[in-house]
Amino acid sequence: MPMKISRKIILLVLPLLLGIFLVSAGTSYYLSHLSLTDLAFQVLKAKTTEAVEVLERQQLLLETFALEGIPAGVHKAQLDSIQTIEALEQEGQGRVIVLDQNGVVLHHSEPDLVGSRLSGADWFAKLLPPNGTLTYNQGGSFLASYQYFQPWQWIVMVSEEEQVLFGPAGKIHSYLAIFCTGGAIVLAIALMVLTRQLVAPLQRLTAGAKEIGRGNMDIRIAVSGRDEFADLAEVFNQMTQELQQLLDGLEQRVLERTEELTEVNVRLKQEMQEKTMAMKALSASERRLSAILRASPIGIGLVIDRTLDWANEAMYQILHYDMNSLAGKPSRLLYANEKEYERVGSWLAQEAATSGTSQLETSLLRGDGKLVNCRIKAAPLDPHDLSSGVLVALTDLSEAKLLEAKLQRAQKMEAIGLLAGGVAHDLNNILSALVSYPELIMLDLPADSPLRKPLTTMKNSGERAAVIVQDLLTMARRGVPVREPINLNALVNELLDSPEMGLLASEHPAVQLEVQLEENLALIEGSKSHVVKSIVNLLFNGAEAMRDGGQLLLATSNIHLQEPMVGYEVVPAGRYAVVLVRDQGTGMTKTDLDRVFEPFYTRKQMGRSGSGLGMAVVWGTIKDHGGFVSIESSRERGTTVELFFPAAETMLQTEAEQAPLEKITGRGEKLLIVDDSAAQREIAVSIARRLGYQTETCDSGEMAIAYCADNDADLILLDMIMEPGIDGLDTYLQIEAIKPQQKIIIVSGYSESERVQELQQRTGCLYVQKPYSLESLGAAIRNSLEQ
Amino acid sequence: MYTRFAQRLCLVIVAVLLGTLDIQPQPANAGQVLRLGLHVSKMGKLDPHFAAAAQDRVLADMVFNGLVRYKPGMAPQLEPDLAVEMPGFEMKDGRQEWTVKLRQGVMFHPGPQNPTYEMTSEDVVFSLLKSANPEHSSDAGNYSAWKVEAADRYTVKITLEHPLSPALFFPRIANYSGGFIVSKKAIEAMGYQGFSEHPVGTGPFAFSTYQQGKMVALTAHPDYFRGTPRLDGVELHLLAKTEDRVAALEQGTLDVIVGSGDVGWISQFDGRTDVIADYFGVGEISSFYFNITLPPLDDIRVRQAIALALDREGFMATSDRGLGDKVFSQVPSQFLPGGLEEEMVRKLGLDFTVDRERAKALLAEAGYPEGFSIDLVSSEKRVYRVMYEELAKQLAQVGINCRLQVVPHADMHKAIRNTPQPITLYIAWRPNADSYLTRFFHSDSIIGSGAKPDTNFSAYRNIDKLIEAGRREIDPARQSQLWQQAQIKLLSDMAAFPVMYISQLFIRRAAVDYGHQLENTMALYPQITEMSTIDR
Repeated sequence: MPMKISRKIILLVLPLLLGIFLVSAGTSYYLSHLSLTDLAFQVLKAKTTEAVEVLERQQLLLETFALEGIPAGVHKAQLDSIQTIEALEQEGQGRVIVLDQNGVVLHHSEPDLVGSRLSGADWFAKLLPPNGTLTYNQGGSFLASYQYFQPWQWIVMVSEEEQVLFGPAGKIHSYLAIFCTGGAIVLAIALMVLTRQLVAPLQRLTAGAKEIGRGNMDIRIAVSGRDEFADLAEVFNQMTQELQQLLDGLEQRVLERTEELTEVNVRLKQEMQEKTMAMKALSASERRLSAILRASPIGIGLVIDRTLDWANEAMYQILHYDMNSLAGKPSRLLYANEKEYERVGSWLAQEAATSGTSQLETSLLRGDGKLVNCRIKAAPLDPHDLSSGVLVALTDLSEAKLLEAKLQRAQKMEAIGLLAGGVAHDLNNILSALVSYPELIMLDLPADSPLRKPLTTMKNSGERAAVIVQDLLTMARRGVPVREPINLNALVNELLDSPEMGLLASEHPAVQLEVQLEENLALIEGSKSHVVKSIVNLLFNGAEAMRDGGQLLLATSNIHLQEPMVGYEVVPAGRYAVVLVRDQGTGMTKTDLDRVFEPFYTRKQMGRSGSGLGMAVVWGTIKDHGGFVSIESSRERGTTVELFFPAAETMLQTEAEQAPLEKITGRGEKLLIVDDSAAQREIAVSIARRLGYQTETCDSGEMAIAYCADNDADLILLDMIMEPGIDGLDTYLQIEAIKPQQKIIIVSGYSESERVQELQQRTGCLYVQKPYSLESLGAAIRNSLEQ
Repeated sequence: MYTRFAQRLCLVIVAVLLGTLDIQPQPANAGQVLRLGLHVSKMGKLDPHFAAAAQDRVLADMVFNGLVRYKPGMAPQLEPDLAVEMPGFEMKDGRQEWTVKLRQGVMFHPGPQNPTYEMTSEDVVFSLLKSANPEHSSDAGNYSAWKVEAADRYTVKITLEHPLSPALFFPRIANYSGGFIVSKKAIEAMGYQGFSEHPVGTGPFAFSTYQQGKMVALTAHPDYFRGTPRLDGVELHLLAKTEDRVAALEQGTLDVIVGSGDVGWISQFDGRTDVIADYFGVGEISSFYFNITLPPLDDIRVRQAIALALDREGFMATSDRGLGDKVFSQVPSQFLPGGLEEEMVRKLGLDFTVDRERAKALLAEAGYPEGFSIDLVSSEKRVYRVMYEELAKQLAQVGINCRLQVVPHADMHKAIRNTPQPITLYIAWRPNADSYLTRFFHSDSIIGSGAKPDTNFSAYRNIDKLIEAGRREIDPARQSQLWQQAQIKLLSDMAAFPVMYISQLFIRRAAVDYGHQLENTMALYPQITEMSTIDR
């Protein structure tokens, strides 16, 4: 019966709806096609304009920068235009075709067509200047917009297939047909569903009534709407409502309890996880602290009731016991005597009780029976109850004590050096007169004058005294006047042929000198005379230690220290050329060794075989060369001295030449002599005048600056150290401000100090050391004036 | 249980005791000085704002910082240096205002006449104004229209009349040329002359001494803001002869040396595990600059003839093959936007493929059928010398006789700036196309007579407007087109002949670790930083 009703409704409504749909669709298609075509041309025109603007921008660039006459520039602009148009083509609809006036394709979305000629195409003839639109067929219906670009005689055309342009809108007629048919079917189905919904509640009520009739109280009938069927169904359903509510409440309680149990379970798991992580962290911390104990250079142990309970590896190493061998043993066995044991015990107890920690130095008895100097630092685990144990940190002071002694020795040598240097400087000034005046006087004496001999003796004595002063200066570490590359092997070979070696052989005939030279010895940088003197001093000392004869070894070698060598001194890592002198003599005591480099400290009788400066000169020389000394001596094996000279990296060769007298005379040039010593000024004036120069003198730097402000001098002889005023360098700096080209020679009783070197680097001036000879000063003056 | 507890307690107390005994870990590289052998016999300028020669850039890189910096070994990538972040800008009344926020706690090295102190905006303002002053900077043109102000102790405002794209602005405040930040107080204390002899900056290493013609010593800056350098210092040894550098490396007196591009030179290190060769950029560009005002090169036919006589292959053969490649425009397309690639240059007909018969015909047309002679000045540096010699060899084939005078590198720099040369070879790296074009071809940069004389050796003045328009352009594609058009004009006028780029080659002991990747550096050496180490 319901099926019949629905059929009637469909047959009546469906034809009517189909008719309405078809009329509407036809009208819509006609109007929308017109609109779409117009819209498509607008889109194509806009893109054409955009493409032409690209060309215009490039043309404007060419015009703005006057590049139109440069073919490559125009070509580049055109290439850039094409490139920009390619990017433009990617946006929106419309394919851009760029043609020249002959129809040759300059750009096309199909690269194969670039360079081909399209003037034969039907549509080409329709491209009339300056712009327009067209439609054409080429395997489909196409719409196009075009525009001429006059400066380059180019045509820019944007075209697209109508189907593509219209897109989904182009399929409107199909859409409408589908819509009509589909709409009719949908309506028919809707009508059927509506009819069934009206009939369905009646069917459900009928079935429910039958079940109730059979006594089935579980049956429920769906309630919808507010009609009579709904009221009937509601009454039916109320019959089992109370029972259902009871069951629902029970289920809810079970659910809540389950949730609670789940939460408790999660919390327990979390706590377990945290506990595991804490255990791991604790274990890692223990391992770290244990590693600290193992790595510590300090001996660490726990003492309970003065019995060693436990100690780390360093403790056993310092005390020379096997690992763990002291555990549980009384600490008394570490002390040489009861008194010291008690002293340490009571001090530690007293200090620990008052301040919490205590510290003291003591000597402990090592496992091998030797004593070791240690510092003990202790801290009780419980300051109020020492019986709970005391933690002890033990530091081996042996090496620190050794280094402290070396430092004291170096400081002492430095202080002695300073004293000797000061004395030597004054002596140098005094000796200048002894060296210089005899020479000047002899120039005025006839060749057969009886005074010549005593004057020569006086001059020679002065020069010998100067040599001793030079020793003092060397020892004072101010005495290396030149730095030149030195081959120690060549130096030793020269030395073997020297008079000094003859003297050594004649004074010590029972001593056999053996020489061992390493091939390819590294060069060093320094003063040959100082190095020779040091070697000679060592050889004479060695020979004199072997009164009954023996073998004296002189050797050279290359030594490359990968790490510092600790001996008499700490020799840093590096490359060294080493000179070794070894005797088989009587050796030295430890006290002798400690003081062997002090000036005037000698085991020999003073005045018998030297000045007492021999080893001090060796020390001064090696320090001036940036080197180091190693010395070992014993009564049985004699003494071995090694001089470590740093191997040179770069070499500068400078040679001083002596000039013949006639080449150093002056031509009346004016010299300004600046020196705070009247005697020095007098000597310099005498020499300068003798050589044919005019002279002026100033006794201070300040006076020289004032002189230069108003006067000229061809050359200034400038003393470096002047007191109490400014020194030579400061004097020069102020003179330079007045006379930037002023020539100078720097003169000093000291050897080249840093101030002298700074002045030389700044000016390139020559340096003359006092006491100077007529030749040396004359040559320096001449060279400076001719620079 | 008791034992375990006691042990733990002991460990804690031991840790405390160790603290009281003053046991400190020693730096991993205590006493380590890295010795770098450079290929020149003397330094040029120690003031970073005049640093043009390679050795000067090396020194400046270690002693100074910029507001931003090229990532060590990874140029041209940039990152903040003395600034806390990459600066940003706002446009106000047509002007571009950049705001730079400075790091706090950056310390200068102590100067000879002033103690160390914290860098502030005052130092930045002072530095950028110094860079803008032609008397105190060789790069003044890049900073002249800048208004630089200290907004507060750690903020600097830079206002530009003509806006710059970040691509052009950042290189100017980077650790390169005028971007280095110098110590105001040091210069006030000792004057500009004093500063030029003892530069003072904030870098990882402080200047110590310069032994003329021999060595520059730098010491670690313990207060360096990125952390105390792992090295104790750096020494720059000046050894112009390659064999001297190699000998020193072999003897262990040098740790890193500048390599040689001599063909086959590198093979001596083949199979060695104790030394490592590093090839890296950026490539310095070699170009011959033709002075278009000096006869006979004032005739374009002569310049075109020279271009047709030159064969890039010949110049490439003077160096190891792995070291470089040919370039066809002033701005290297391999490294920077705005350059012209070989294919494009050929398409435009500006490649000047070797044609010596055509070259001779052009010379005859210009009135030099028998050729002519010119005097040229070359540096003693190998790369200059061999390229000048190759130039002379190639030009001789068309009748042009080159008389070469070889002088120390620094002297060549003076000579080519003081006296116009008919042909000048210059090998240089510039951070962007604008810098290349401005410094080599803007009329303001003409040596001697320009408003801001720089390195326009060609006396060229025909692309000023293009350069300036390119500088103002914000659109990257458009900016690139303007730069390319400028170079097309240059090639059409044949004001310069771009030859090749040459990468860097350094040799180091395997024990040396620069502490960063090494692909490109603007400092033209591998860059020694606070992270560099040597394991002797």
